[in-house]
Amino acid sequence: MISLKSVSKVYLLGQTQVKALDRVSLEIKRGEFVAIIGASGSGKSTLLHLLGGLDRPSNGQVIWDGQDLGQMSDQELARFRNQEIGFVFQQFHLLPRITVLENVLLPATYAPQKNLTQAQTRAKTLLSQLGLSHRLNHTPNQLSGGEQQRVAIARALINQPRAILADEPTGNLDSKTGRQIMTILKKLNQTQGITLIVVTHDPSIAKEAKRVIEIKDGKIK
Amino acid sequence: MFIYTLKIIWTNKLRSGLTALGIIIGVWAVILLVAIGNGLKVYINQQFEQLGANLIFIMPGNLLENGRYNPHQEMTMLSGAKFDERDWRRLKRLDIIEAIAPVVYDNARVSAGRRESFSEIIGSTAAIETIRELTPEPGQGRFFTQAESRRSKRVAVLGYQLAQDLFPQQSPLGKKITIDNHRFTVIGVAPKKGGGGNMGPSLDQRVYLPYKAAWSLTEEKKFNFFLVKAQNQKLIPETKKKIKNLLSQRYDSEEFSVLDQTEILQVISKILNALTLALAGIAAISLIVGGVGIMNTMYATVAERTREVGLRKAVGATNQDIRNQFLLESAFLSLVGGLVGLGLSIISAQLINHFFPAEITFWSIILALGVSSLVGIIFGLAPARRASRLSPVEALRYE
Ligand SMILES: Nc1ncnc2c1ncn2[C@@H]1O[C@H](COP(=O)(O)OP(=O)(O)OP(=O)(O)O)[C@@H](O)[C@H]1O
Ligand SMILES: [Mg+2]
Repeated sequence: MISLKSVSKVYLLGQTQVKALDRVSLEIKRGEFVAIIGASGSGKSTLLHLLGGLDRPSNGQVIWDGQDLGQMSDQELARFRNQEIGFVFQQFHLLPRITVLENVLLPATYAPQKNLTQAQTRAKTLLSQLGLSHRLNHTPNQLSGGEQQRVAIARALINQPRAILADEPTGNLDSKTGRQIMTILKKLNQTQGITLIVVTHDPSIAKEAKRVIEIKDGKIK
Repeated sequence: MFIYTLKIIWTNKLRSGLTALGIIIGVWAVILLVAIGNGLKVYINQQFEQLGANLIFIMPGNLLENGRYNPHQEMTMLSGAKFDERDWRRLKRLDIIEAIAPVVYDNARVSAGRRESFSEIIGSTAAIETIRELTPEPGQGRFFTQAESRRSKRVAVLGYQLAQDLFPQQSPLGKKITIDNHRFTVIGVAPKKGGGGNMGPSLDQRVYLPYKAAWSLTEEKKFNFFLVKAQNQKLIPETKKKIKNLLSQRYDSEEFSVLDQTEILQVISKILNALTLALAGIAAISLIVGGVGIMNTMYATVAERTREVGLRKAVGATNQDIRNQFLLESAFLSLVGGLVGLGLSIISAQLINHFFPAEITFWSIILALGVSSLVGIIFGLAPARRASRLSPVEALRYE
């Protein structure tokens, strides 16, 4: 279970303080599919980053199964992201100079117990499940947007995370491809019980989620 | 990870090459200069080995100070004749000395017909024949006699190579040569002394004259130095002491030096070492410049790859992982520069060896490669730390 206890995030822009999140408390159960919606600048991405241990809150606690992320060192937090979280971004964020397969393997190279041959087999399996087995040795720029996002999903899954945190995963895709991506993510949630948290402003995506959290000016509505 | 580094460096071939250039030049210059210094030392050692054993040199000026090389006096050795016939006669009377040869040293143009050569002139007595083992081979004539050296007879013994240069494919014996407008008759050819390298002046390019005849070429009727042969190795210190005592009666201890071969070699290698070190030091500055170049490139690389850093952190890279990645990159860049510089220096040492002795030693290779990777690590540290400290969220937002 993930719980946020009165979490705030304040950014300093010169002299002025920007309150991106203001005393947010919420709980997400394991295996849930949650959509986070809200206007642009409302604090959705900030919330997702805090949930995934990519950033630290200014105040409050982010607790995963009783473990307070705020108590972890940078190194422990890196390991937590590596083992427990799979991020999927709107801009895909694939490394341009290496192949699809190598991109998928990237999180495995940072795993504490490295087993790269096993990871390689797993990466190939994931890529073929996502219909990319013919693309293993291509570089990301040779792929379409939908294909790139599927590579990013394979990368998120390589270390068998507990949760996938996706920040507008369909934002750079046309609606048909976007729907395909959402289908993949939903299926992962349903068949493998992976907790799925998706930031979106697409109402049709939000509709599919079991639960919708709406953010407005850094607060839960 | 290593392969990724290679890929990155390869993708930016031009930039990587330019960045490594400073290191390339630095390593190249350092290794080559040290190689030349070493080659010279080896060469000079060889030359000395060919001089003959148990030699003691009596030279003007103070070459050693309290048994140590005196850097301010190195030129005094060359500053003209100093000893006269009286010194020689008195030294000859020392029983402990086996043989003594006074030496008039000069450089002059030696010609035979249209062929000529600029050679070292050694004016001495017949004693130098035994001290330096200069007895001509059978059929190659003879060395000049005691009587000839006393009577300033215009006879000359040619070094092996000089004889071939002046009289190709014919015997020089009985032929005339001209040294500074004075004519001499060739009476012998010294045996081949070699000298290994191709660096002049070679022992085989010399002309040996009776000292009085040599004086007709010089301004002063003096000797530049004495060559003394001790009776045996053990008696060298005792012999030196006796010589010093004798000369002290007439000269200040600052005005002359009595050195044996090992001391002379020490003096020369100290001069060469100091010179090599100074030159290598100057060359090492370019390594620092190269390091700054690497730092500059690495800062640019880090800025360009900010989003990559963010992504890597998002998928679990620790700060150390990121730092090591960039350190590896800069160290590798620098090491490759070092290897290329090493390759260049090996090639240039080969080329230079045709004119000048150069010897690349194992430790200079190790040092150059060690230093270049170290330069990469040191100058890569600041950019790598900057990368490692990027906040993942900020880095991912970076455009
Ligand atoms: N690094 C930062 N420095 C300063 N302000 C920031 C920073 N990151 C976010 N903010 C501000 O915090 C607020 C919330 O940002 P956030 O990115 O979470 O919004 P969002 O809901 O994801 O918006 P969008 O739908 O446009 O992605 C915004 O007002 C934004 O300007
Ligand atoms: Mg956002």
